[in-house]
Amino acid sequence: MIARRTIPPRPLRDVPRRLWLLLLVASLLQVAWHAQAPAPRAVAQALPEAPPVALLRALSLGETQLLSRLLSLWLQAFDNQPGISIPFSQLDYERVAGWLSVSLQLDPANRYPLLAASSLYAEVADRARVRRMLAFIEIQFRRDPPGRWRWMAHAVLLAKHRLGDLPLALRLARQLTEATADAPVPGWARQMQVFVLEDSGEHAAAAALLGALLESGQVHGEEERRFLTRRLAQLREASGVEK
Amino acid sequence: MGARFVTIGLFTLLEAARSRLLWLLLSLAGVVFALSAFLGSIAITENRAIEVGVLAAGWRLVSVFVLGLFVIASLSREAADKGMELLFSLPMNRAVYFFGKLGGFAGVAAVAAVLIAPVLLLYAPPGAVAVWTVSLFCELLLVIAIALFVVLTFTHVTIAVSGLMGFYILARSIESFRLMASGPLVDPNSLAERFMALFFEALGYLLPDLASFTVTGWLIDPTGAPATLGPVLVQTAVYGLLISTAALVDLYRKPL
Repeated sequence: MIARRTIPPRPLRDVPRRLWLLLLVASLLQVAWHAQAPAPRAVAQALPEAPPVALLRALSLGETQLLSRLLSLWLQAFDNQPGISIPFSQLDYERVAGWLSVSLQLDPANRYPLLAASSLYAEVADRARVRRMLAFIEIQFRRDPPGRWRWMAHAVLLAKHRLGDLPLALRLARQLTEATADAPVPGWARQMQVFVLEDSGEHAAAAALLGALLESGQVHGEEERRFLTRRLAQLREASGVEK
Repeated sequence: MGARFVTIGLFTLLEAARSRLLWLLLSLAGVVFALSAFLGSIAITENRAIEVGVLAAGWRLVSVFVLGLFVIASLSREAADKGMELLFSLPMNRAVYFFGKLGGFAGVAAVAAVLIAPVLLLYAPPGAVAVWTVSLFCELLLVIAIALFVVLTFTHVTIAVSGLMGFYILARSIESFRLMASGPLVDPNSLAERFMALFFEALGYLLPDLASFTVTGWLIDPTGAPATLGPVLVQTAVYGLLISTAALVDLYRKPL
């Protein structure tokens, strides 16, 4: 056992008086220097260009998955810089897309960038910015349809309801249906194309597509089959197609 | 008195030389340079900015870390070997011992600050490199003074190193903390948030603003380098005096 030996420090009175005086003067000088210095000013930093993935890979020291998530968090918090809050509408969306893209390249399984694109950055009033995020989701979906169909489905809804751009919604929905034909994707996601077509007034095309879907045997639930069959009848009626 | 001050300072430099500190600094400078060159070579744009940024910021961290550890290890060993007690038994003012040590360590800091300057001249104009180098020397002087303070106060190496690192990180980030504590996200009706804002404001008075020292951006964009180093020099003098005096108070209270 280590013996504890404590020698008490010398009393404060053993410290030379001049030293106390100097300490007081130095403290006052520090306070005065700090007080006269201009208060820190919040300066909004522009979002920089995303660096090359190879550089980030080298900097991650092998922890690419961690770095991917940290980048996502950093980007998400970029609008709240110390002392200042920047609206998303002031961010450069080309650069936002660049950062989201490198984050996904570092870890393709990271869901954060696509979620942020569809539920955060696309929730702005600026239609051009919404379109930029939808284009980002479309590109990323093509790289991994079975893993990224959720955000493509969200993109279809954004195009349809937020932008009111039915041709764009239809294009996205068509890709969603075609690219996930063999993937375990819920029926409602594949059926989005049908409902967008219906909203576009293309009842005949919607009926043909829904009919093909029912015949393909991809709809398994009895209730769902009944609902879609009823819907098919309504579509055929609206388009004048005979049963 | 002056001769003793010089002797203690020279022996501190001798200790640095014999403990192969220069070789360690040279090796680390090579590693930081190689890393910056590698990262610059794989970048597709802004290569020079990336190289000089990694080199300058990397060297600043390396030199702060190595010098802080050297000061703490040196004084801890001297205390453990009873060398400090031997010196205090001589008819010598303790302030001479302290400032002799500080002077010796400052010599090592000067070497560390100047060591990387020739390499930086490959990337930035001499004026910007000179401003950055002087600022790094001032930063290292403050780090040395703080390291002396923590090792004389806490005596234990682990606590002293933790204290130094905590102090350094806080001093470099205090400005951001102050801005965040008074930013638009703060609820003015929340007592806890008002307390935190006051706490960081008070902390700002106790810490040097190291975020305004040795800014890497001065080298990346030399037009942003300050025309004068006045504020850096004044802050170094004021805080150096404060922390040295506080360390001396502890030194005078050490039992013998």
